[in-house]
Amino acid sequence: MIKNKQTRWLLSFSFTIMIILMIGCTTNNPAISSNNDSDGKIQFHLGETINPEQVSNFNPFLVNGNWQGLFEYIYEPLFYFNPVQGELMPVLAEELGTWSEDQKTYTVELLDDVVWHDGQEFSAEDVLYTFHALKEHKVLDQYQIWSDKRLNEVTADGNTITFKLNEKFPSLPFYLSTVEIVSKHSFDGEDPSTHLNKEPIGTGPFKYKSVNESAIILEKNADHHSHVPTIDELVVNRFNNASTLTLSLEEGSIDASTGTIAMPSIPKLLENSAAKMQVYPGLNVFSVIMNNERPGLDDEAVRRAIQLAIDRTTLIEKAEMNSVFPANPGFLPKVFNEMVDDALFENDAYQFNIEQAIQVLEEAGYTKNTNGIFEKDGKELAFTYNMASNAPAQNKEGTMITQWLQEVGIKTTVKLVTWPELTKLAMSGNYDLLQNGIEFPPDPQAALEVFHSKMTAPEGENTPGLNYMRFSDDDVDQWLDEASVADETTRQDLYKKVQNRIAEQAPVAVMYNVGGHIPYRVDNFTNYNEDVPVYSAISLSQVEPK
Amino acid sequence: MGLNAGYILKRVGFALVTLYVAITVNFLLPRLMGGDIADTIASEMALGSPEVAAALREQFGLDNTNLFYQYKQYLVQLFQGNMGVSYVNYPAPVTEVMLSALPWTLGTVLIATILSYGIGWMIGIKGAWKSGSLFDNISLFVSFFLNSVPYFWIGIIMIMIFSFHLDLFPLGKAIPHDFDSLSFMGKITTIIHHAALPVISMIIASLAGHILVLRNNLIRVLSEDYMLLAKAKGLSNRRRKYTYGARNALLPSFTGLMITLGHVIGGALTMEIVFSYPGVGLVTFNAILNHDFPLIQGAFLFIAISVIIANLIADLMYPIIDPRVALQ
Repeated sequence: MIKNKQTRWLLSFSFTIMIILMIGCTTNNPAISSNNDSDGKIQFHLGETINPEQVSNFNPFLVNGNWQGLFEYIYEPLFYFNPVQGELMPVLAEELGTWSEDQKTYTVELLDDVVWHDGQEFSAEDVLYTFHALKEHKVLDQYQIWSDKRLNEVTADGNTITFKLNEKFPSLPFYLSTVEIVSKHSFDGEDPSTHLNKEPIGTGPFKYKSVNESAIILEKNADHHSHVPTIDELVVNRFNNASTLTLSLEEGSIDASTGTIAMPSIPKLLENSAAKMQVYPGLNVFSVIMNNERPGLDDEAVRRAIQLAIDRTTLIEKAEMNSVFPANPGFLPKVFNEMVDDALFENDAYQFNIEQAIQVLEEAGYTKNTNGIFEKDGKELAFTYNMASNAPAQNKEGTMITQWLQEVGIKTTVKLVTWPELTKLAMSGNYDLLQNGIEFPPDPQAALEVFHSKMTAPEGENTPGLNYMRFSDDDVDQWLDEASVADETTRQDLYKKVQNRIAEQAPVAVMYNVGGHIPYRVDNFTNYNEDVPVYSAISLSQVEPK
Repeated sequence: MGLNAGYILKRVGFALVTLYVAITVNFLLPRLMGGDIADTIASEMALGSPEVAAALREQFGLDNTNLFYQYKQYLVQLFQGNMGVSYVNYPAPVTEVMLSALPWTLGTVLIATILSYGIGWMIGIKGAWKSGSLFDNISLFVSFFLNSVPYFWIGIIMIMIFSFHLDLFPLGKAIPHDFDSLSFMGKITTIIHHAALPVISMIIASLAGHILVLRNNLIRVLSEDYMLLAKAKGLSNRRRKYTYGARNALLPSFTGLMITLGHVIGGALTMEIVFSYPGVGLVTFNAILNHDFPLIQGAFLFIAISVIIANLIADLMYPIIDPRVALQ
């Protein structure tokens, strides 16, 4: 009887294990990558964290409910801003546009022989529809190109599009790169601010095929005007976390991501000779944002001491695994090429130096109390340090920074809040120190106008722009106002003055510049174009299977 | 039977009051978090433009900041079956977002819960019946070990062994990318293939509690005098074990099952993250992080209703399992 029972248990156990192994073995396992699917199609597997809320619509006008990265493959703008080279490239335009003599009219010639994915002909009417949609729906005009001082009229004559401006606006071409051109016939009769656009029709090198819980599948556009992709399908694999995505990359079941990767896994990933990493500067500067109106932080010496207490090299090496770019103490990131004052990056006055930080405070009349904290007039240098919860890398960096501040003699109390709360605190000015990224469009003027006094408000009121620091400097305002209508050479000089003033006054303490850190594999595909982001539509149009 | 109209009315009334309180708390809680989704989006996407933030606020129906007005609107819409439009899924309705995630949650968490209780109870009964045997000792040891291991560790270990190294299961996700091109049977097989590790890991992680609770209760019941009498009367082992023993020992475990079933709809966030699996847990988690009030309200309402219904069912079933409940 006992023997029978033992046998029964043994049989049941063996049966269960067999079932598990059978499920595991008999199903086609999609995990291991191959260039080809069962039909012999060449598939490139991209991976990204795309949550359910990012496939609610495929409307490139909308800022939420979609994954913006997808539109690069399906739609095309007039120009593409290439962050690797920091330059504009014509896409739907023959070449970069031309300015009129008074700098108030910008003319763009459109490409001939462009067709939409459904076979209909692309025309200037589509461009007009796109820009008029922004004009008629304020919520869609995210960079306010139709504001009083900017666009006045967009007209078409044949293949020529003319942008007429109210005032000089030399940055216009940069903003044109942020607008994906949609087909008038697919949006006609729809409200572009609510249209779900479930079957997107673009002119891009890849056509929308399908979406499910696992992937968004695009197929090559055999009628593309410039470069018909070599791959048949671009499979954008959806993950909900960076760790699984990174494991898939290590395993080889995806060939690249558009930037997401579990930072601590980078060294291990790169041990594999098939794995590469492309790093380039970008349009987001992570910083310790300081409220320049708060007691203590209204003193330039204290802000300088905080700036000197941040070891940017260590942050980049230890926390960001060399996947971000060094930040400019004068704020403007390297992506803006000749507009950037390169000398500031290496300037000793702005490098990590704890002794120098202490000296700056002592020279400004601060003395250390018995707790080792600097104080002046009986008031300690003690601040609340806000950072995002549920952000491990950010929290690691925050811990390092607060430790360095402690070494200098500045006390901090860490407070973790959600990202939206962090934004709310920054906007209202209800904070001392705040660790966050400041993101801007591909326009150096917009990046530096973060420090214009017109972009701020007194504490307690929401800022009308990104000057969360409550920084105000008459010279900076004047230089930026002059630059906004100046020619390129003059702008370059003015921007350098602004950058030097920002570095000196330290309204923010920059940490690093986030652009692209793109992991990709070269064992299945070759011919990536590294002069542009390797995941970009331009590069993936050119990749070839090995 | 002990099930009378008064008892039922009392339980249903209590459930309705609980539901109203849950609806009101659902409305208030997200608004205590601070932060403004329109400002956040404008800050990230539009240089912090107040014009864009105002336009977004109008689009989301947040332009009237009066809390009472919003509460009234919320109740009116709710009674019309409209949970609103999710901000981050804009312009998708909350119901659509929830219903698209729900099947994955029910398919994994519900199955794992039922299997886990079933297996746990069977092992618990067998262990208690042969208390001190080799089987009992092994099941106790394994239970204590599993009880002390966090779920994510089990999940990660299973992924590393069965997916990454042995390559028997996918690394995560619910379906393969070419799911749409598969035959009906192919679709079913591949769903099971993808769900196997998440379900097995959830079963393993939750098994210990069910084993221990039922085993200990049954050992207590088995020492009662009436069990000795049943043995003296010559009743079969099976009847004594299940009808006399397990039924009386089951009540606390049954309560646990019903509470767990009520929470099934809330998803299993850790499992969804570890296995990159879709489900209600992650939808809710992201809604909280993004301050998506309508979606938070919708998700918590779904959870509240399911918990209330599960509790109501449990309340109504108690008198059937144990007639003493209604009499008390």
